[in-house]
Amino acid sequence: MTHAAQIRIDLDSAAPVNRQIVDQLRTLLVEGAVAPDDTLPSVRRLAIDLGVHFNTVADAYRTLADEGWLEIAHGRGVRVRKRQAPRRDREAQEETLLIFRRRLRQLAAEMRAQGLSPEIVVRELASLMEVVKS
Amino acid sequence: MNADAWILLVCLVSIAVLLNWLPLWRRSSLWFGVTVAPDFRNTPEARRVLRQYRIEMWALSLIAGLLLRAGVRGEAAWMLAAGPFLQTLGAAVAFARGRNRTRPYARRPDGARAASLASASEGLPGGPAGVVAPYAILAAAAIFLQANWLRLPNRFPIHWGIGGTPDRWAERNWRGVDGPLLAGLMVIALLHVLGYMIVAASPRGRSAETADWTARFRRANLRLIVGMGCTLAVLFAVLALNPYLARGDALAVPAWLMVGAVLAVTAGFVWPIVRISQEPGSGSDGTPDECWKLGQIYYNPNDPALLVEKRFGVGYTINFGNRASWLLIGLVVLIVLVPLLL
Repeated sequence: MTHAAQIRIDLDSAAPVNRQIVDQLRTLLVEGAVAPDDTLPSVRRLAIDLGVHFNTVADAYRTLADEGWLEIAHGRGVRVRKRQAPRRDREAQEETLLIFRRRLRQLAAEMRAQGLSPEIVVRELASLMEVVKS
Repeated sequence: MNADAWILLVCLVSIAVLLNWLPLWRRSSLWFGVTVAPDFRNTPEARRVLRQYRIEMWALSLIAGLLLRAGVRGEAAWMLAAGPFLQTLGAAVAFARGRNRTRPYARRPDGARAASLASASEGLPGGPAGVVAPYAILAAAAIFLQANWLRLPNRFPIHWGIGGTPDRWAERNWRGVDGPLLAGLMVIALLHVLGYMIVAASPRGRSAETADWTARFRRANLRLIVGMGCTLAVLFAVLALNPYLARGDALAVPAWLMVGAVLAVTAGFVWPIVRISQEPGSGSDGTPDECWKLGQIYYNPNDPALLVEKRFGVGYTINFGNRASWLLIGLVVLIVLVPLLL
């Protein structure tokens, strides 16, 4: 299956390119923009289109394969797997939640520091909530 | 002036006219190979750079014309070759000088990149039929010549001077009869290799905003390659069939008709590329300015692309920073050398 989803990176960003690719793809996978059984571009194809080294894309794909999102078959491309969220015990869930809260607060503070009003930040969080719910 | 001189002069002027417009056939955020603001072309500075390029290019073309005239008169044979060489090299130097004049207005290319997650293979326009057709034409000509072997003259011309006078002959053997078909096969194979390289190893667009433009530009270039493959197959087949069709040493199909037809077909395929390249909003090509040597030679070991869009003229050029590029250059050299050695 083909799809028109796009991946965007910023070479000027402080974040490493492979992490940008992982974060973007994971978002698309979680939001369903890329569905199970879809085929993604090969490492070579994506690297040429983004103008980054093959290893950068290969690293990103491997990370997502380790997380259970992708299946990399040599010569047959990269396929999206059906993935169930891993089951977590109560303690592990609390720990993950703490990380989530901390990152969210950091991000909200960073956006406010860059000039976004509290109303806009709240509106964006609400809109994100809708996406997560759906 | 004789007919040879007139033909050479017309070629020289035609090339000068082409070079006059060539800097304008580029993405909207490029000017003389430098990344600039999209509306820079309308500024007095941009017009001055273009004007100076054109003055230098036409002045060198004039000198090239004078050298050609002297060469035709027989003053010195080397002048015949020096004229076109000076014109081509001169345009490259004038472009590089234009690039230096544009550099103060350079804008740092945007670091934002986007890529489609579509994995479907592009393929060449026309599908397998478009690729196979030229080889089928050459094969049909070869079979026809084989079937009519005894009707071919024992000795026939295979090369003609500018004025149409034969200057090289061949015997009726496989090399003489099938030579043009073999040469055509090599040239068409090279075209198809380049086409597949564009599909597989050039960026499909590095910006979300210009992805559509890039897709149309690529498609138009691939159509040119497939179209030229078929056109050249017909040309080489006609040349191969000439000993069977012609009477005496003349060409069965006049040279002007063959050249005119090839030029007309080429223009028909190039024109859409020119139109696309002049559209606004095509942005930049996602390659760093500092990797373009003299504005025309792309050397970027950090870019995995083997072919990238040209910044002077239409089409694609090699990324010399990619080690695979030397394989491609080797293939081109091989294809040029094999017919010469046969």
